[in-house]
Amino acid sequence: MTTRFFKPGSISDAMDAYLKSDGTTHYFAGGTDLMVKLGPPGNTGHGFISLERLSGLNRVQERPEDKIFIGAMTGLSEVAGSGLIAEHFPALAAAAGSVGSPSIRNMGTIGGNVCNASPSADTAPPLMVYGASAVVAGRDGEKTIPMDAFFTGPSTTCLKPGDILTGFMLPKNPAIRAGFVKLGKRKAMECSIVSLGLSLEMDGAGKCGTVRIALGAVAPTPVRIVRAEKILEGRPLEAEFIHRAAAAVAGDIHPIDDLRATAGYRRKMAGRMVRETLLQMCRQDHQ
Amino acid sequence: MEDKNITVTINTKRHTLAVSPNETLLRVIRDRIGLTGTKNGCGEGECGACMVIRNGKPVNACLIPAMACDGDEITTIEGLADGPDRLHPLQDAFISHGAVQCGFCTPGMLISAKALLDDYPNPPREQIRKALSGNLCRCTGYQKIVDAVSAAASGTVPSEKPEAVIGGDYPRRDAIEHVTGVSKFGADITHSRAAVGKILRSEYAHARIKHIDVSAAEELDGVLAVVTGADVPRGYFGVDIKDRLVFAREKVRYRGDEVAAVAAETEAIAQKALSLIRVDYEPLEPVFDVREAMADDAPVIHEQLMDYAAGFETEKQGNICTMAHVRLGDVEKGLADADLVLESTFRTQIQHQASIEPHAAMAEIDSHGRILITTTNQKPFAVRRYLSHAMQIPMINIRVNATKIGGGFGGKLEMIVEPYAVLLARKCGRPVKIVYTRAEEFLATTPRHPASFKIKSGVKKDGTITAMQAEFIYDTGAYSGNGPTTVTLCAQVIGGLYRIPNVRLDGYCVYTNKMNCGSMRGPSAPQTTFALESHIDDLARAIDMDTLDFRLKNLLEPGEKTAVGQTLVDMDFKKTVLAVADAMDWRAPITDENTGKGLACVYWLSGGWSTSVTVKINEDGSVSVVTAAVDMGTGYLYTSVIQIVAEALGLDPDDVHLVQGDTDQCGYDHGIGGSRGVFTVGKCAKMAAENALEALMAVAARKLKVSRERLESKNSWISVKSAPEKRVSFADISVERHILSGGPITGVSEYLPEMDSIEPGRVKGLSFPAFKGVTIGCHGVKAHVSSDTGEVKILKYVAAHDVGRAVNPLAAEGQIEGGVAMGLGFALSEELMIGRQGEVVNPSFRDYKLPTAMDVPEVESILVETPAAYGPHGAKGLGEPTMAPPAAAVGNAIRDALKLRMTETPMTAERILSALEEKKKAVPSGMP
Repeated sequence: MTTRFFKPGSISDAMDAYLKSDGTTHYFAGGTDLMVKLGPPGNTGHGFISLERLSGLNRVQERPEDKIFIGAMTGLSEVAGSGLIAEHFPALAAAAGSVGSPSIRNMGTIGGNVCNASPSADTAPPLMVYGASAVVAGRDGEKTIPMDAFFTGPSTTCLKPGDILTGFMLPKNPAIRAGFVKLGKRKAMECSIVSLGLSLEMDGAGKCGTVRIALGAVAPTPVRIVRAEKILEGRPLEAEFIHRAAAAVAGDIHPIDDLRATAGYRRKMAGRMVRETLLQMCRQDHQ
Repeated sequence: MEDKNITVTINTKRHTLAVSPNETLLRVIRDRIGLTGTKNGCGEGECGACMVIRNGKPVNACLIPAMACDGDEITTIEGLADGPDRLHPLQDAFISHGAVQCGFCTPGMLISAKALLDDYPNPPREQIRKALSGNLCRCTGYQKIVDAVSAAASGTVPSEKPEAVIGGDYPRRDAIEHVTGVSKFGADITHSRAAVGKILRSEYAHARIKHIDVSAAEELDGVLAVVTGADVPRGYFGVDIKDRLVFAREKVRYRGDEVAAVAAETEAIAQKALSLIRVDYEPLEPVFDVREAMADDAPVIHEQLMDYAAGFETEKQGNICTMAHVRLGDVEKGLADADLVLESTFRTQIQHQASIEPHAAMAEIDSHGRILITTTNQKPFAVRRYLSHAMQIPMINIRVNATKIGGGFGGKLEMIVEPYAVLLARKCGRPVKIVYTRAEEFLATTPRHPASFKIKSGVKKDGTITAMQAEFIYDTGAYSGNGPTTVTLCAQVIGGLYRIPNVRLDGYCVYTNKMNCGSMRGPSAPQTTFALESHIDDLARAIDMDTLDFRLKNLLEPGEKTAVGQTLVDMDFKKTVLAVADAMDWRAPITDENTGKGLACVYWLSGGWSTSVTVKINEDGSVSVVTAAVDMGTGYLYTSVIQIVAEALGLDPDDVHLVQGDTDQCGYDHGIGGSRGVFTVGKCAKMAAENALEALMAVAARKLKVSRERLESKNSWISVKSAPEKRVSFADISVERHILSGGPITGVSEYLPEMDSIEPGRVKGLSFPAFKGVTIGCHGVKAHVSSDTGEVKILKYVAAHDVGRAVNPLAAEGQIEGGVAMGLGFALSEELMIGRQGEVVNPSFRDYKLPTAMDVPEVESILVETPAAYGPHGAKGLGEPTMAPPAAAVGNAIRDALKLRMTETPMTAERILSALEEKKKAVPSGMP
């Protein structure tokens, strides 16, 4: 039995503490999801290992090869307000700025938002469409995992016991245009009914190059909508293909009925959000 | 558990203390340091009441383990001012702008606002709304809060006193307590020996209790008492029908019914003890739908219904506990005479008061065995009466003292948490405090009745309504609660707006296996107004008449009678409706796509029932107003009533002090609700103050040797009108009276507003006739509806209310803005959902969607003043009617925008879209 609340100073100490614990100990980032699910340590026998003191996890940094690193412990407020992120990944900034409320964003971290692995995690779709990789410290050293492969189910990820997500590596790509859209019943304090991240890069010949579309809250995990992407790639960004792509969204998602919305509504909205976002980009092109 | 020392700096003071892992920062601040200005509204980071600044940033203290805070710097509300006389500009602005209503969300709001202004000295309104979007407020509709933050940012906080007392924008007298965090709400009452009480609730919606075994719970270390129905005499209680016991005995009737309660040293032990109580249930078939519950073969929820005592006469049958009927003229003939007959059905949801402050009570037993219960309750005398009935204790042995109420809205109008605290305290011999969790609030308190309506009317092509027939069914849940009254009010409201010669109304109040629905702000008003005003809109459209013109043609005029036979006086529908139409520029056509406008009117009654007020002149000439009426958060006592007393006596409102809510010290009051604060308590206070003035005048006349008629009172002096230098002060008269003959000079008054005359031949089964103080309003909305997503965007909102006389216009606007916000929640997003087993699906602020600061539009309030002869200075009630029209007005705007009639609230985006698609499928076969 380890201590119920532990604030280690290094990743290896954190990992040791985790692995020595009896499986009821959780890594603790901002706490905004964990404290609601489990309450403070002690009530249900669980413990927390705070990642707050680990160095290097709380920053946004330029890295070689035109990459940007976003530490996992970077607060959602910082992600939303970072100049670097606003410049290179505005859809991610918008997503981070849409989580919960200002105070929740002050506490919550981008790593926590992702590791909580809610199907509706707002930062997941933009991370996926920007081609981000998760940087993970494990017992056997560091590994990088593409965000598309990170989630394995509701509240589950591919992290092994003891693994610590240290941050995200995102490639800068000035040719990319991206958008984030969130649908909910309120304009704040809202768990998404559907969320959308979409990025688009035109090739030199006026056709769509790489297209990435990711949706939240419409499947057990945030998902890429590959069928729709393929319809667009190699084709001009025109209404015909946009409508076809939007129509294809339904094939790649598996929404459920819950208290927030029915599966049918989610399915409809997912397609329409993709359509409207693409049409808007199309209109920008013709302005 | 391993405690750990942490050092935290709170409001510049360093504290080193041992904390245990299960303590949150919020608990440390409230329970260990004793700073109770930081509130606990949900414990899940969803309401913002616990907002503090931690290392420069606003955070939810409920979500932070105390152990994480070692070395932190924390600012709470108590640290905002630079000392008692140097408030932060935001605090001054909140006070002067009427940004404080109940005050419970105020500390958290101020903390978020401070953090915003620290970073952005001059934010636009949209940014202010965003910064406050994690702070829920149920009272204000956010508008005055945004005003206050704007004013503080721009340095335009007014400091002068209003010129006139009546009609002056006086801030709440106790606002300073709220903005500095010193006011004490239910959960803030502490006692060093207090034990924690918790309640065990039924896991079944309908079941027989075979056996309860509490032995394991009693044996648990730290458990002080366990009580069940066996510890209480079988005393039934209830508002209209006495059908409820403190604990469920033979049967449980909903998931949440109280089965047992535990007092323990700590919350964790109490919680553990609950899990050790074994209850053997024999499940019975539950019924959740009112129509099914009304069927002959439905499971019977109250087998003894016919034996229950009731305060009025009504038919009962099966699960129907009230049948209300209104008959006027000949409906068949009226429908036959019509050019067109239209039938509509409507349904409304369970809306919850969702006050940010949860229910809380502390019970103590003194050495004589007398009970003191300190509770956040709107009706202290009723709690005393109910406790006495339910527990068969003489009333003299019960003292109920009301705390500040962090939002009532009718949710704190009944006895809810009090008896459990009392029983536990009596059994364990220590004070016991019970504070409901947010989930308990949603599971087991008294929300708004869901209702269904079937309305059929006939209309002539010229716009004359020939007949109306309506059936309405109110789902009262497991107990009747305020259901009979709600059905009665519905019958009065539905026939209160329009001139209809032939009317047949049939209302039913029906038991189901859900929580007991009660009185929420205007019980029946939003439900009925949604149904009636949607139906009326469709009637107008069916004959191609403008919906404004149709209303102007048919709305009742002063001197005309409502369906129950009440003669309307002192109100002006036309003026009120036209005020809205003007502000909306109603005649201007709307050309934008999917955009429409809608109107909805409301008829409501300012509550009656009796009250009493004593006005005492203190030795220094200041005045104490003693009343058992409490302030549920609207501020009427701390604004209008104080102003009324000050005006009557001729003194500064600052010299008026309130003593309230204590059954030992105060005269009787029925309980605060029904929009009766200013109308009834204000009137009684005026009469008491006038009596006190006459007593002062008599002394002054003797001293100044002139007749009473020659004297006047001003600024706490009584002087001779013709020779103002001849004068004597209140203080001089009062001191002399105290010392020489035993003071104080008092003015006492009792008051019961007359019931209005209705025509007994027209009604049957109603629980009361009608109150005099009719209060009316009209709202107008312009909205865009997305045909893609179903989302509604409010573009303009205008609300006019005929308030009689606005004793305090700032407070009146606050009621309108807050009512509109709550009404829009009812219209668009709020719904307490019940699952297949009778469970509440969404018992949290996360999933019960109160509008946030970013969801509520700016509201343009219009105060129409047609003085009411019965109200003080002509004032009428205003709290409740403000929330009735939004759903119908929005529904009518949707109808106008998309030719789509929504018949169910809340009109969520998904429901609108789905209705739109159904309609497209149904077209083209002759839809209107």
